[in-house]
Amino acid sequence: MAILRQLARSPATSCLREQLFSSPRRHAALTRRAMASADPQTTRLDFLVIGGGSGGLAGARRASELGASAAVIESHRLGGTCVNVGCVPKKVMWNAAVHAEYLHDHSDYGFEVESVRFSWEALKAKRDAYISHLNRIYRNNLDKAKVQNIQGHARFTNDPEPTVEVDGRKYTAPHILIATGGQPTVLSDADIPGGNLGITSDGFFELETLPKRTVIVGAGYIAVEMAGILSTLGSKTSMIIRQSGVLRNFDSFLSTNCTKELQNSGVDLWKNSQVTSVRKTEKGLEVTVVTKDQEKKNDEEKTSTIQEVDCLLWAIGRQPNTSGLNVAAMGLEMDERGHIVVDEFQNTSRPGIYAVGDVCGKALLTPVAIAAGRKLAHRLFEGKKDSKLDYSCIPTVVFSHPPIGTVGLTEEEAIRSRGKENVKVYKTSFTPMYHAITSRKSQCIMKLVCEGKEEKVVGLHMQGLGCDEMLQGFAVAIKMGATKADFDKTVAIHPTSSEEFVTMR
Amino acid sequence: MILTAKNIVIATGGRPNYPIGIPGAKEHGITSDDIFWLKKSPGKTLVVGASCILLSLLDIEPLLIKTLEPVSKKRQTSRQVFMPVNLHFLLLMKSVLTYIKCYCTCESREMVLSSTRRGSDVALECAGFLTGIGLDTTVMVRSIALRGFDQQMAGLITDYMATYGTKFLWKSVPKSVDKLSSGALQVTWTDTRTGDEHKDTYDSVLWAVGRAPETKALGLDQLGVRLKKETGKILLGSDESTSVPNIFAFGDIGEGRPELTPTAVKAGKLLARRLAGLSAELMNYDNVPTTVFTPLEYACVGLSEEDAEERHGKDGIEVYHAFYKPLEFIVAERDASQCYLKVVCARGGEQKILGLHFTGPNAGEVAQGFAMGFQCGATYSHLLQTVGIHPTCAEEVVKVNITKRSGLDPAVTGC
Repeated sequence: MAILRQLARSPATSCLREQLFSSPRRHAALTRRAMASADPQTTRLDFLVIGGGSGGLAGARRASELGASAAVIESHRLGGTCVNVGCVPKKVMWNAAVHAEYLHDHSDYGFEVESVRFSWEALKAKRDAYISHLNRIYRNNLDKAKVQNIQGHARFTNDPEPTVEVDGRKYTAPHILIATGGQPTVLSDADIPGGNLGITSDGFFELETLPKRTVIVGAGYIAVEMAGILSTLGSKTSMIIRQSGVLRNFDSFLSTNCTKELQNSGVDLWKNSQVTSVRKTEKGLEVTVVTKDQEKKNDEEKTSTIQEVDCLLWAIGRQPNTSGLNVAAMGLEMDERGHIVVDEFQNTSRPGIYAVGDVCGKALLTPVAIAAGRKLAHRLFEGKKDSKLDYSCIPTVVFSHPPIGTVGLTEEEAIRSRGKENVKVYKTSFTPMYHAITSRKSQCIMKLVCEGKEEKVVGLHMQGLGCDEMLQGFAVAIKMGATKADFDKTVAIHPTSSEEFVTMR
Repeated sequence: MILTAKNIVIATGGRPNYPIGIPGAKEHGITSDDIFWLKKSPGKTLVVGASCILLSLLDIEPLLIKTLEPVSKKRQTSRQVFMPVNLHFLLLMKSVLTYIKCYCTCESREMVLSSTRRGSDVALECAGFLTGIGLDTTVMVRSIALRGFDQQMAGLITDYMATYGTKFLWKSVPKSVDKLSSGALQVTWTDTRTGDEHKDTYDSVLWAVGRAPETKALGLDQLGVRLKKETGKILLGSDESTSVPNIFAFGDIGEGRPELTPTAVKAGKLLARRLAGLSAELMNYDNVPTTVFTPLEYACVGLSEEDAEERHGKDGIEVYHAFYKPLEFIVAERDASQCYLKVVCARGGEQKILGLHFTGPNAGEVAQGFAMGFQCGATYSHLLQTVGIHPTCAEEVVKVNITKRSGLDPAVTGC
């Protein structure tokens, strides 16, 4: 009893106390472990997770459900990138932008709307309140799942057994999962003079007001989404891209169309351009841009400046979050960009240490991290030796205007791996019925990439109203190996845009 | 002019019924055929019947404006939806007319030419959009709403509509419709539960009480084409043949056929191929997905839970379900208690999906892909193997994991 009392009083084991009194079985087990450990200060668990984001939380909760004692170490807020500075607040902003777009169509639909004012502050307050609500839910979920939540920054020690230290307290486990995620790539002044005057997507979510003049640098999906949101909500927006189109890793059908839709919606797109310097003036930032003139096919460059910019947003990539973790102490294999290298089972190069999610650099998506985390938990704690995530046919949506949905191979990838003679492509484009009576128009484009004699569908790509909700069901069918004939056999739902996929010729 | 042919195909569809035995029904009421003919806004409307209707987009005429400000201000107090604007009915209808005319003259997609629907849904759809544009709308239902559909889902749809201002008169049958000197229509009805009689006045009464096929003028009885006595529809073989050789029929006029455009379109194309000797493929009327475009959309494919239980027994099925909250509703603080989905599977083995049901924004767009999966014989584990798309409403289908059998709370609690 004396030892128990001592443990209970010690601040280091206050979380242990919660566990001790929450479950008699675990109570006994933990007490035994704490007493049996060589270093009484090191807490021993079955499963230690570094990072309380999508991957980490899912893995920890599933492990706990399967009977493992688990803890999650998080240095910021629960939910990670997705909840706090990613998917969720992004989607709220996208929804707001969709409202803004629909306002343009109101008079066509018979609604006489007087001048409408938009309050960024009101929207942000609601958005922030919702995110705090989610942070609390995640905390409750951890508590309900009997997973310890340790606040603080984790760091591997140089102990012989893999050990993690958080604020002076040590933790160890036979299974340690690194799910520390990633962060936006930041430019220093050394890379571009004045580079640090810009913000990243993290900073976007801290903006207190709608910027009047925005410059976004980058051509990936984050740049596209940010440009769409800001421009549609009323910020005069320019986008600086190094080549001639956005989303260059997507199917060219989507890349070309998205580039066009961005321009049509009023985003000022600077192709073949790069920012060379940024300067602060009284009226805002002055951004210097150098453009290569592709027409002239020489090295001639044009230098221009964009004035009075109050928001410069770098969306030039993301990098893994491993600084401060002291991963070197574990001798883990990393790639040239700092991602932790894992095999198909999420094993790192050191037995007993695993990694999932953005920190691995593959398929940077919440549902992927969640699925991988859960599969790992089943493999480690339910004896399912073959439990792993299949990374093929992962569907993804870009919340552009209108949204993009894509799953599987691009046409180019299919041709490269199967040969042009084995690939057949079906395409269509049309104006959705929603625009039948609006003066503003947007197109819906769809493409199926099929291979082989039986025309197995290996890729589906689309952009248009409703494509964000349309994709999920098709992803199930494609994962099952659907063929073009299966698509054709399915009766259409009418009237929708999605029916065009099952009536393609 | 007399025409003869080797094969004759009848695809004359149906027309909405007027009820029999209700004085004043035909003289003072309208059907869905008429809704776009109205020269002024329908005003306070009674829609009778939540079990059958036709909505045709053909032959619409321009309407005169009636500003709805007085109505909309009253609406504002009863629910959160704003209506501080003037709705120019004429402008809306004019735009719709222009679109239709353009498509008709351009001979564009079949979808514009006819929008016949399966019975049960369009009454609610009409009531839904009339309420949505600010009109005082009531639906009178004799027995149940959305007959033939999964009844749990039907309840969610009507609950949602009721929350958002559509009034419902359940288990009521109309007795008579009289025109008052003011021009308004007084409807008398009986509450079948109590036997009590009630009266109320409306500007319009819209009958949505069933559809009958157009066979009278064709003289089919003289040819010996067999019809189903109760409905008047033509009895058909699986190859769309009638009881008379070389006479075929398909679409709404066929007995037991779903009253849906895409099935009619597909059946027609397959029939044409068979008649031309190019194929022997028959139309598959199973696995037809459908969407009801009520204010909260409902999409489904396969069996209702009731039908699945009947075929396989309660112990032979496993129902996975979830109440979810679309992100769109959260910031707007809208009530999402009817946003729900359920996947009815065969119990044990691979857990083949027998039916899939989904209510929520964009249900129509969500369902098409799942209907495809269903067509390919998807099982519950196929759903789980598919990575979700985040954040969307559709991903909730591949995340569903709580069974009805477990009795656990099916509300989704974040990732």
